[in-house]
Amino acid sequence: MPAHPIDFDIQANLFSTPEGLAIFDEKNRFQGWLDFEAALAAAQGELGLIPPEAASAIQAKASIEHLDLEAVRLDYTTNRNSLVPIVKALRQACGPYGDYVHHGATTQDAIDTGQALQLKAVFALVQRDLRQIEDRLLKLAAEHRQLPMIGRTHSQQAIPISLGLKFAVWLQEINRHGDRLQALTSRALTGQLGGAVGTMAALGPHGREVATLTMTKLGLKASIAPWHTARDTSAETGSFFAMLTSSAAKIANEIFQLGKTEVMELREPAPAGKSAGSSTMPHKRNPVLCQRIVVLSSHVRALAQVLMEAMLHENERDPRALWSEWLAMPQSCIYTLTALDYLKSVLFDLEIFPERMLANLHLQQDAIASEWLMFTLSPVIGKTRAHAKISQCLDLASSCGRSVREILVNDQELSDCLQHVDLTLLDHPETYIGLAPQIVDDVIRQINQKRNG
Amino acid sequence: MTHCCPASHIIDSRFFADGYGTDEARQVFCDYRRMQRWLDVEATLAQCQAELGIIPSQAAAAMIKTAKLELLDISAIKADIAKTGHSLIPLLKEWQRVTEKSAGQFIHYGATTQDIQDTAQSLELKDVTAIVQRDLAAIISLLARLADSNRDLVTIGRSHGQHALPTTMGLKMAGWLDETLRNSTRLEACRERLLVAQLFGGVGTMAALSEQGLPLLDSFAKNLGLAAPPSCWHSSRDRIAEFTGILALITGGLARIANEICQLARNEIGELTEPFIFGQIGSTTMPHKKNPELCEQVVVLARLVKANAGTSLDTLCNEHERDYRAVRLEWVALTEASIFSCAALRLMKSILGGLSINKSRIKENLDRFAVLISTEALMFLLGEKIGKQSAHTLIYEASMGNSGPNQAELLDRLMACPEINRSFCREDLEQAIDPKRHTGLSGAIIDRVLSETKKSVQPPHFQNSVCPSRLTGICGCA
Repeated sequence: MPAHPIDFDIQANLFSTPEGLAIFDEKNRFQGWLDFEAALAAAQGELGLIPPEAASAIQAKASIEHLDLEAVRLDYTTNRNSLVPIVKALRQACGPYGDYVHHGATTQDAIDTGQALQLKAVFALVQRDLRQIEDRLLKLAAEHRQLPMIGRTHSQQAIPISLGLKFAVWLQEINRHGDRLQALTSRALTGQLGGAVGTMAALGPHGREVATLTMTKLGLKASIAPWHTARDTSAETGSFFAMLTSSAAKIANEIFQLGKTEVMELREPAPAGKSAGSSTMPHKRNPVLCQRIVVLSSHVRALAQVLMEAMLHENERDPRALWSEWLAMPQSCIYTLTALDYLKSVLFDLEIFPERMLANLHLQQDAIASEWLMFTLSPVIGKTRAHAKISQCLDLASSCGRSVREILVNDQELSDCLQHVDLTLLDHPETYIGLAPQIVDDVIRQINQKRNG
Repeated sequence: MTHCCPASHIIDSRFFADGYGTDEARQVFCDYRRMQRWLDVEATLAQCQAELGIIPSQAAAAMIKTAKLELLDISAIKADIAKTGHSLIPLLKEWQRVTEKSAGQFIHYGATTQDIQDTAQSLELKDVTAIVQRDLAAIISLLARLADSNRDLVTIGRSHGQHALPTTMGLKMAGWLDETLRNSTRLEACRERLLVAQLFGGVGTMAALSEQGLPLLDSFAKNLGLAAPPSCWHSSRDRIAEFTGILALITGGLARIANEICQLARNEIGELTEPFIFGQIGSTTMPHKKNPELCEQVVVLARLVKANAGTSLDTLCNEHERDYRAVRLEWVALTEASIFSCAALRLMKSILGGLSINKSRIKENLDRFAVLISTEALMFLLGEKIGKQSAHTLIYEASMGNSGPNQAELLDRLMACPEINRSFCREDLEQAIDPKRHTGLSGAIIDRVLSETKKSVQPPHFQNSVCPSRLTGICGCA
């Protein structure tokens, strides 16, 4: 009976992906803890701290299928420790060697290390998705480096840009997230082995060697000092996902806005069936994925806040903070992976309507060339005078429904100034895209250099 | 650097303050006013204590006589706050200095600092809620007029950012109105809980307030125009969190209206425009631009209020009998949330007061997409003969072809279907998609909402008193 939309069975993968669910699946979570126990025993065996037979037995049995999960389930109904029922079942499975299980470690050592293993898997998927999105945007930016459309500020038409420039700005943002992930990876994929209050007291004099070896076996970094109460990397991970999904939401919202009926310059691709429309309005095709991305990002931002608050640990360990992290981190990861998955679908088959772009760009006719006019007149009458004069002409043009050109040529002062000026641009404002194509080229070149270098 | 009276918070900016607050709201929270309110609260306490025989009446009279900020040395208070780190004692010390010696010992008799400051805060809230309620009433009447006068203005309804079905502009505005009415009701209910005095002593036991503590609380509250709460609320801040939450709801509702106007003002849509005064400059570099900046500012303010409302919830987790980590947080969150809200309300009054409704663009948008927006009607009409599901399928297929809808083309395609051709003539279809026929019960719904406005809250009387600094000129930068 899945009650959380993450786990919905019938409307499956609405706010999740199969990959994300697999990482945070309960049994996989337990398996991470068991992997920790196995690596710990192996390290302790190699260093001669526990008998080699014990180390081998623990490694052989530290797998979810060797445990009596019914017993574990029952145990959890009375035992309030998060790890003990699992450790108990492992001990049981290891028979005479059971005493050597979880030797010198504390509950949080196993659980934090398990979470680091989950994050490692998540980061690999995020990196893959970022790369694919970047690839797609590289292609889109190059293809449309010169395709004119109107730029908008304050939700009002401003002056032309190229669609490629819009893509290039997204591309840079995504690329920066790649850099952030790399930096984060170097900090966040660190295991935990410190014992009850981080002193390694029960791990014996070779505790530090045990920790290093254990983490090497798990493919994680060993932490020099315990981080039971230092949750900055968890909070950083949450914040990174918040930023990443917010960028995704920015892109999704832009496509949503540019796909409004009256605008219709970009459109989210249609689904394979015809399920995205309305149950009661047969003509409708809704940008469903774009909206889902926005929803997901809003939750990931809220979860980042929770992860930030979980930094306020007290003393040497503080479950009030830790447990809120346990609840927030899986959601944050699953939603992020889902948002990226949706964004890939949207971008891979994005519909682009160059004709509507051109038509919208000409909506205000030659008024859209006001900046060009101002800079054409500025050398002659000064920029301030030009701004004021053009504003007047624009008002006149719109109030009497004439073109700006007509007003200009009938204005004594301006017609003199413009006598030798080529006014073709007034008919073709779409050519006023500045250095947009060159900026696109620079962005593409820079990213390619980064990839090759 | 020359010494000046700094105004670094945007609320106090000498250039931009109007976008973030109103003079009226800033007056309520002015720090001189705050000090004076603390004195007022202390003086009222003394008066009530004298009436109950707890302190001598001459002492109370002497204290009341000197409880005026203009009699005190402001710089001495400032210096003492810096030295002692206490927020109230320096004011009381300075007050005691100018008060007759025998009376001075009865100053702040049995109260705790937070009693005075919380009570004064309730007085601030009394003013703020009156301003907010007054402006909500003004917005309600503007919206009622707009909903009524645009009752029959047919426009396109949108969902998922896409044209959906016809509606009326009046219905859209009635929706704004209904939400604003609810917020006004919420605020009124909150006022009853919110405007309470605080007078319970160090840990809420009234131990130092004499055996007559409870009657004292009643008369103290009554004299200040506040209610007397059953128990202390030093560490129980739900009232304030509720109020900032309501401010977030109010400004959130205003932001919805503002954003809708912004969206409908896009050049491609052009149905609504906020008031734009000639001379106002949209862009430094693009003379053609007219930006919906008032609406944008309302959205900005709503976001800021929302953040403060969230922060206010953090005050609920108080420890023990008092916890200054909560109270000091309110000093910022409540002030900002209140002042930002007042600014948003004032902006919305001017936006709605001068809103332009471009009827020709509304009609143009409606006609341009008429065929698509009335497909629901078409589905029901065709459904009568061929079944609703088959009608849905046929219309879907006929609509999907191109991105630019075309009425004639769609009807051609539908009439080309033998199932349809057999049972309908083209005129049936044309009539079915006339948008004017598909505004449902819009008119009746508008009437329902308008009748609610008759029950709406009468705003309490409010008149801002003059700031003590204005009386005496103690504020160097006024």
